[in-house]
Amino acid sequence: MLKHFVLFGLLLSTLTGCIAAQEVESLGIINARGVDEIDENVIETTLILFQFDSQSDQITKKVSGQGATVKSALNDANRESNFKLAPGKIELEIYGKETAEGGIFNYLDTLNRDATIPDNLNIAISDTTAKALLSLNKEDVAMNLGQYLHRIIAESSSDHLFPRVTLQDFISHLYDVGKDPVLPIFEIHDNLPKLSAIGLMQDDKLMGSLPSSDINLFNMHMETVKKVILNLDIPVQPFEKYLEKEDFIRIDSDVLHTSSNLIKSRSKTTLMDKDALKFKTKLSVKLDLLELSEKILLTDKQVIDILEKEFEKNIISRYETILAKMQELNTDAFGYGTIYRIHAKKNKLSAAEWRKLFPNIQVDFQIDVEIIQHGSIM
Amino acid sequence: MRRRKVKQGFFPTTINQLKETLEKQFENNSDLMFSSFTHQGKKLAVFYIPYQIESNKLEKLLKTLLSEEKEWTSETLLNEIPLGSGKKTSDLQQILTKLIVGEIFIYIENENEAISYQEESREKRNLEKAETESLVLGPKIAFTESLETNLNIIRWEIRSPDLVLEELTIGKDLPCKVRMIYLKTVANDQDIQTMRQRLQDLDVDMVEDAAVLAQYIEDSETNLFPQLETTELPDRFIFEINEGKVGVLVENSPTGILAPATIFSFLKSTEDLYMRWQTGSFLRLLRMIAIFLSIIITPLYVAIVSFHYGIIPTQLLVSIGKSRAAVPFPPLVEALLLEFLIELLREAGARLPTKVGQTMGIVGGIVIGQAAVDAGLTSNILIIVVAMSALASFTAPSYLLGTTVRLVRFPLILLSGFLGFYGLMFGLCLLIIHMLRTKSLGHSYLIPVYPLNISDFLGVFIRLPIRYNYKRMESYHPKKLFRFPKKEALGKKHMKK
Amino acid sequence: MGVPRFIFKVAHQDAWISILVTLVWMLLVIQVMLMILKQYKNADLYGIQVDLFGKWIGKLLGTVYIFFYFVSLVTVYLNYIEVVHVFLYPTLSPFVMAILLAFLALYTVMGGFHVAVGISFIFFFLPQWLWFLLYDPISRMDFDHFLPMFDASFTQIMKGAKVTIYSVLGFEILFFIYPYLSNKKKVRRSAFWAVSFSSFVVMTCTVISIGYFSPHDLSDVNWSVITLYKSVSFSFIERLDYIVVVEWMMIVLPNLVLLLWVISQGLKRIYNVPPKYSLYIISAICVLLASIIKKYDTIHFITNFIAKFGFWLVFIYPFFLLLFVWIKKLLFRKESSQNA
Repeated sequence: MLKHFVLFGLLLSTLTGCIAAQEVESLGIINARGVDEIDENVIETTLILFQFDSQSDQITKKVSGQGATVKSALNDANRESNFKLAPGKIELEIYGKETAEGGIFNYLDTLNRDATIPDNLNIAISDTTAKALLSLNKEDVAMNLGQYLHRIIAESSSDHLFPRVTLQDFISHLYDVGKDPVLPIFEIHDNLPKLSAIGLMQDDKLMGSLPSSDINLFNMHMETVKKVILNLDIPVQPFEKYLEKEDFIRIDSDVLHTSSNLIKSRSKTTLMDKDALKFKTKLSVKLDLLELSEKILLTDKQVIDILEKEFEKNIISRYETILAKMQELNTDAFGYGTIYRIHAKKNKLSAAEWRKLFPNIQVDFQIDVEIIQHGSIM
Repeated sequence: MRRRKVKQGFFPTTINQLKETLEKQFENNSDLMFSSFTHQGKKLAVFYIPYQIESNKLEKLLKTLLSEEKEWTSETLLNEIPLGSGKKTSDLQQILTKLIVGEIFIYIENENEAISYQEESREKRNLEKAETESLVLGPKIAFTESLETNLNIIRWEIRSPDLVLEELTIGKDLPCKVRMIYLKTVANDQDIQTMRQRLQDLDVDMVEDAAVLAQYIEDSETNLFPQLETTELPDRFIFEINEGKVGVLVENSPTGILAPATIFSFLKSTEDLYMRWQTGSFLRLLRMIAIFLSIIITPLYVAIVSFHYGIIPTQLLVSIGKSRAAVPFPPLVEALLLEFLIELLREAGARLPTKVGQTMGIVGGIVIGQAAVDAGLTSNILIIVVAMSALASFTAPSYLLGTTVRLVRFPLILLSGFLGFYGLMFGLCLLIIHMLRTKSLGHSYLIPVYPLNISDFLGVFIRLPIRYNYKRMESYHPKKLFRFPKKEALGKKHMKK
Repeated sequence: MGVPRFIFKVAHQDAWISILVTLVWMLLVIQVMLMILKQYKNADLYGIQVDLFGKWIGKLLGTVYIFFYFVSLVTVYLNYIEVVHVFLYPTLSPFVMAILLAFLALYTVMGGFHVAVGISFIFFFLPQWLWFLLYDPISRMDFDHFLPMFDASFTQIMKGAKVTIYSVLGFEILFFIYPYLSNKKKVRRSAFWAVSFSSFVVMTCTVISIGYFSPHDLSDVNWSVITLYKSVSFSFIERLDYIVVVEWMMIVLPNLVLLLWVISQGLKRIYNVPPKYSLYIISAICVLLASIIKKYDTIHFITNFIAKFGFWLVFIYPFFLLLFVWIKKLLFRKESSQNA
């Protein structure tokens, strides 16, 4: 017994000075990282750091560095900082638009390989360069810019929906046969970062984008969506006779703008005809009406029916536009390929084959809108 | 006690000779009272130590002795004086021992033996409220230093002929009475036998206190954990005796020993039983969590701040980083410093009189803590952490376990300071293995978790509703497993009108 | 920890079938083992082999087992240290990690068989809470990854089952602890439960890994089970992978302890080496080897070797052994009837 204690004591004494400690206050903890390829084989990284200096209240700092690989650029950046850069808490990784168009796989590889880097870091693309986005004047943004962007992403999505694309999601979609990843694109608007579009990727290359107004539709196709605001524009014309005809209300335009609260949407895609590449996407949508730009009398049951019909039409047409765009760019962000793959069975579908097939697929959208509530007034 | 060997066959002797011998024994001690007088022609001597006896009893004795108009012999003394129990003693050594414990001796010249009466007066403390194990609900008296009082309390609580109070004497030079207490219809024979054996085999000069005795008879002395339960609460003592445990009371000690014990029995309080079962269970679980937290929280802080910043969410990290920025020491030193400070405060608080102790706590806690943060010696997050761990360690119902918890923290802090989580885990594993190697009266220390006994398991972590509390711990194999039949207890509530 | 990857590489999305096959096989082997053990009253495998094949061959076979366990012991050290190295401390020397583990194992085994069993028991329950953390990866699973089902061929599934072996090895220890078990009637039921549970663990991990990672990714990720925990986060704690890696010590330790115990028992039974010395020496060699071998390839090679070795020794050999036991019994019966 006593022998054990002596041994234990000896053991403890051998431990001293075994590993270099990484005390929080001696580290520059990277919060966000931007990567731009500024020249061939020259990468510039822009880093937003937290550093805790007793002599200053400023805890965030921006440094940048250049090098042939991301790690060497990081090392270069470290020379600008008197703190040891630590990548264990990166929350956001941003790529410049040009860099993303050239493919980002190489940069992701280092992230994935390093076990200290968290898997749930978000990836995004800057409309200009990553440096420009991360170098915005901080006075307009009260907090650390990296955190600010991270917040934008986190607040505008619940669960695992777009625009919250984590490293894990991205890699997973990248490798899945018959599915292409998407990334959020930020632009600089009035000296403030703003989520502007859905970046459509072909493998790791940015091909084009969808406007940010399509985000909800995009998500509804991918997964079950709950509690978001859905804006739909439908023509006024079918409601002509139900419009409230008061003197003081004038009809301004042909378009009826509506906002509704999406209670729950559910989608299911099936392969109808394997050879003809025909798919069917069923989508059921349950809504609470929140806002109408014109005063329509909703007392009549028919009005609700018409409203539902018009919503359906609108959604279908928008999906068709989105799909057309995707087919044009040949990026299958909806993942029709995965469904095709399942039915391909023995003859395994390769990514290249699907590239050839995807532009020719036909999708039959079947949307079922149901309005549950329309607010406290008729 | 063992002085010069007095030769056998001392009696009969003359009064003068006796006086001389006794005075020689009590050299430099002006305590012995020796008075001789003549009654009915016979020389009598009465000797005693004045402060060890009850003086009015002595007066009574002498009154009867002198008022009778007859010639006394040892025999008539024994038979005719109706006071206490007279005993014959012929050995000088015994006379000396008995004198000290308050017996009055009468010797009639040329008789073969002296007669003694046990009339000791012993100063003792009154029954008081328990100090170290204070309860909110339930009986509050504590054991006192008087064995008789303690036995009296126990006898009144367990009024059953099944209660056995075996007397043993331990200590060669300064013998001390020890009582082994158990319910003969309940306690496991093996346990009784083990305990008896251990007490009998003890070959020491003296037993200072029950706590010392507990250390003499526990299973392993290099072990960190207390292996025998000690308590100053009669109600806890009685409760455990009723559960089938073996208790030991020691003369002149206000502490009872109970065995076998488990780590969980140190976390139990009789108070759990006095409360409603929901609150009782909640408090018991709270205590368990608190002990765990108390051990782990400071090492965790040290490990995280020194090595694993990644584990804290960014928001929290920023506030920790800010508070750490001004501190000139590494987290390990910082934590050790503050833990040391807290231990100082505690120890000082325990040594000082109660009122000063309280002031001490406030001064220490608020003033020093605040000053340390202002001076940039520690981060305020660490102050919270250390205070929490100190607070949590106070929740242990057993003071002994509380001190173990205090001690265990330091190696764990060191380990996490050197090796981070790996070191901390190593420490925790070591602690668990250590616990597994611990035995209490030959039983595992982790009963009923290991060896697992499902029917005991729940009762340890949760204070079961009273009607489900009908079983004793199965793991100890008591002679009587059921305290009461479950069905009848249920029946009482649904009595027919 | 890395098993899902290996099974997936062979059996693809039908990896879970492979695991079921392994389970059935294991149950069969356990049945066989118990049948062998029941022929003898209170003997372990070391004794049985000597009884069957005579002193020399029996001892040789015993030595083979000791060697197998020794190499297993080393791989347990190597694999765990490698994980800690990659996930927690790239700079910490393996020597320190190994010596700490060895100290724990030694301290346990020195306490006797009862402490060794206690450790296995308690450390089985303590890490179970890790299951709850898997809710996050489960919510991110993509069930399309399992489709199309039953795609793998029979050989692929069998190969997958073979790969599973390394992670479920250890139940053969029953051969050695059998004499120490007090309630022999319950042995079969508990052994079946235990094996089923461990298969269930492997299965769950594999299924979640397949759902969570994309196929190509899964064949790249080294420790998929730990990586699963990387994305779990709470408001007060993130990066649960750190916790999982250290908590894994509790899973590793019983392995170390039981292996160490079996080896020391074997050395005592066969070569009369007192456990007091053999324990220290074996631990010292393990620490030494664990601190020398650092390369991923070498570790992988040794692990593969032990998996193959284990396949023959654990999954095939008992059947032959049973055959021998029967033959011997037949012969013996004839002899005794002739004598009578």
